[in-house]
Amino acid sequence: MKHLLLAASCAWLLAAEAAAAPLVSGTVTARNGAALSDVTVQVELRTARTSTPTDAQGAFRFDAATLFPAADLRDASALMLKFSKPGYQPANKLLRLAPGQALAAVTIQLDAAGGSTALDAAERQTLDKFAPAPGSTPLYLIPYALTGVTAPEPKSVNDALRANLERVIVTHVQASTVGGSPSLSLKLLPVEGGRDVDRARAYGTYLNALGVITGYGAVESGARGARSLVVSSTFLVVPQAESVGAPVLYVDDDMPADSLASPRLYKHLSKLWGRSTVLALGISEFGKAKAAGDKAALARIRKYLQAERAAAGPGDEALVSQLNALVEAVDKELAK
Amino acid sequence: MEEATDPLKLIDLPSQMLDKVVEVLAKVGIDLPALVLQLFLLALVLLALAVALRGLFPDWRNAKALPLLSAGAIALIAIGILFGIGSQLMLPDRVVGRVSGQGLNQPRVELLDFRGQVVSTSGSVDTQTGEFIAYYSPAWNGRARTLRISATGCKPRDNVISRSRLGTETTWDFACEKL
Repeated sequence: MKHLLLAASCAWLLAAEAAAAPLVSGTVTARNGAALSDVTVQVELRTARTSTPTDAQGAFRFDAATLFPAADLRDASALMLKFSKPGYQPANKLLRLAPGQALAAVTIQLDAAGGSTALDAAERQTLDKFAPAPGSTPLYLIPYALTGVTAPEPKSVNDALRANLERVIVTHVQASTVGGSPSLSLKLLPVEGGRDVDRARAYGTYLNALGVITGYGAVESGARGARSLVVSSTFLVVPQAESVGAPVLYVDDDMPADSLASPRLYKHLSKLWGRSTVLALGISEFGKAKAAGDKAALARIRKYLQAERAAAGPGDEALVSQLNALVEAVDKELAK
Repeated sequence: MEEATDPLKLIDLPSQMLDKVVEVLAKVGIDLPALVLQLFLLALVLLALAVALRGLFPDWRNAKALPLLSAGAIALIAIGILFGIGSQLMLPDRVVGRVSGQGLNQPRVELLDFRGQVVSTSGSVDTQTGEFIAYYSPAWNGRARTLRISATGCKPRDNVISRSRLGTETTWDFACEKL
């Protein structure tokens, strides 16, 4: 009987201890309410700290009891949560601990850093309509500044370019070894942009985009009198990775001016579009895998980056250099 | 001055005197953590006490008043040092409070010891409420003397932490003075 009582007391004490163990959870969103994935959430108690990335819904979860020594946890009066993501201002949240009391879920909104803080209310309102759905990987196109385009009108040309660019990008990524079927899309933003790269990055950061495409074009006459639309594009990769940063890639396209409304415009578009997107996906997934210490994911990323590098051709030197830097960073992480 | 008027705070007197002595030792170039300095001081005092007692024994009953008083005074100093160290061990190992200021960008706090060296292991501030919790080791570093508040683009500001404020949650005002 004594043994039974002792065992029951021990079980009760253990249960009480488990119930008191704080479970830290919450979600991180941008100011516009869009869920922010890949935010590094660090939980800190004295000198001990550990981190995890947010998932596609911006959610995170820690079981503090498995992370910190029980004695430290009992003695602690608070935990500090630190949120960081490239392109956003970091935020901290102090969580008060009360013995035996469950912690309320934390909701944090991150402000975009740098240029996007200069976005005015009207711009934010416009961009909010294009906020990505949870789990989607959006790319955005800021309408090209086109000169010499009269028929069809520039708006129709931008619509046709968007549809054809999306097709080129999605087809390339599906045919690549990226795997995991990322839900890619290219949305046309109804904003002015053209050549303002800083502004374009600010929009991309605000929208938590994978990349932003912008540029300008002009109709030119060739040697034999054939007219073509020459477009110079800037592909801004929005996620950042250590040693690679957030690359800016340039893509030039040359399309016959008399078939700008053609649904087969994609045949004239550069292969760099797809390759640049794979690089952007690599950077985005690398950050996630690194934070989670997911070696399998790192190996998969390395594999598709190497395949992309091997398929690169003349004129892809800038992209290859970025791919090399990223593969090197992945290798370094795999070697740890 | 304010602290000395409270009779209960007279208990802190040995600790305060020890703080002063340790500060003086640091100023003359013996720049060590508080506990090491205090133990060094204690060793010196015990050595002096041993010498004083050796002069008294074995016939201490017939000793003159002055050597007796000297030995007693040295013994009291040793007790004071021990009391000071003990009192230091009882100090809370954290400073909890709130930073209050307008439009601060990434505020941070640091605890400094009597040498002006950073002794805190964490100093993040809640970006919404300004609350912070800074841990340090009072047993090793001695009492935290200063709370340094800084923010991006602003000059850091040092605030003196009185002994009485250590166990309380204080709100510290911080007006940004641009760098």
